[in-house]
Amino acid sequence: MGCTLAALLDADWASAQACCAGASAITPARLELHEQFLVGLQLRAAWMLGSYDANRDFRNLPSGAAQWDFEQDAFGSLRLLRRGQLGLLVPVLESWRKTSTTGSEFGGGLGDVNVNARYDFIYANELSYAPGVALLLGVTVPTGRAPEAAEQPLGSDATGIGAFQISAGLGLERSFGDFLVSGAGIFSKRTSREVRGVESELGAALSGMLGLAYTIREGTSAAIFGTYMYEGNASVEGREIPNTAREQLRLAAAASFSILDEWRIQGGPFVDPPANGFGRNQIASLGGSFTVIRSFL
Amino acid sequence: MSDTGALSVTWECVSGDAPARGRNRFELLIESTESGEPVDGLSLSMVPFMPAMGHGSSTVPTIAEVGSGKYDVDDVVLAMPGVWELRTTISGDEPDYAAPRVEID
Repeated sequence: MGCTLAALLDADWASAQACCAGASAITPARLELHEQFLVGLQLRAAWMLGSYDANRDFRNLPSGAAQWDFEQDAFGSLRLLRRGQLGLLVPVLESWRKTSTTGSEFGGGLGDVNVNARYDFIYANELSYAPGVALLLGVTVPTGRAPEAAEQPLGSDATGIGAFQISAGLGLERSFGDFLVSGAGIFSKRTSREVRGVESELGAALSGMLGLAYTIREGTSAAIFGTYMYEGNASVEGREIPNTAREQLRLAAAASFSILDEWRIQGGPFVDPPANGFGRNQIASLGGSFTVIRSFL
Repeated sequence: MSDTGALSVTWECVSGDAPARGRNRFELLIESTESGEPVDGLSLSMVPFMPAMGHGSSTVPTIAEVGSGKYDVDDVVLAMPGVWELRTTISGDEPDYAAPRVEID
């Protein structure tokens, strides 16, 4: 379920307020200043490269194993206040997995639905002496199928984490000419849950994003950005379990184009670097995304 | 070592050279820590659990006593790479608990 936090982060970022076209490349679902409402669809595909162990050592997939993950996120953002907006993200996930002992399988279904909000206290460049500052809030509801509820042996039809998650954070951004520097920090916590009589609770997570976008011309921009997530040790039956903390670094690039006034597309590749030191207790993937957005003024 | 310290619980993968992602079969060897003698006649149940991800497995393993302190545990599905706990509850006159760890790529 490594992708779950990323999805929430995306949802949080997706709700971020655009200050210029550059932001659209990093956060595709952000309402631009003149927009009141938008809907969109994001398609993702990722190939599992391997995994990082508890010592941050990267391990290739064993011989005979493979995994493709697919995701389709339907999302919408609505401006409720002049500076505030509300977002909804409904993911559908599928996975094809294969191992030498179990064979191959394909499964999927509805994922965990996320509701998020953003309030911009200061827009980027609104003040000459301060960056744009926004409050980010999110709640993820366990509408997906938890791994132990999966019917496929490799869990390809597991589409959720089985717990509620709440998150809160701050977004900062500042433009310098045609460049936009954007950052976000988000704290997340999941509720405890019981799995076949075992009570467990994942550790609190801190996530950060830093991106640089460049506006090539009106309606066209490109960006590079990275995300880092740290999650503390998990607890089982009230006891903290050592060496269960998780880390993930994801690097991405994206471009955004306006096709018509109300339509834009966005997409690009992402990778979790398949080398020692870039993750912990986490899978590593290489993939890409493509997003179509219709906005309403 | 079990929770009470009375039992030593070790595993051997019998479905392959090493535990692998997917379906596995294990043989648990349970011995008395005091005498070193194998312990038969125990009633076991197992929940494979991945602490770092906070989830379990999609299947419930089946367990059969083999004899000489050995218990055959089949249908242990470990769906993700990483460290799993084979959380084993021992019922009977002297209830106990053990959670040997298994790491898979």
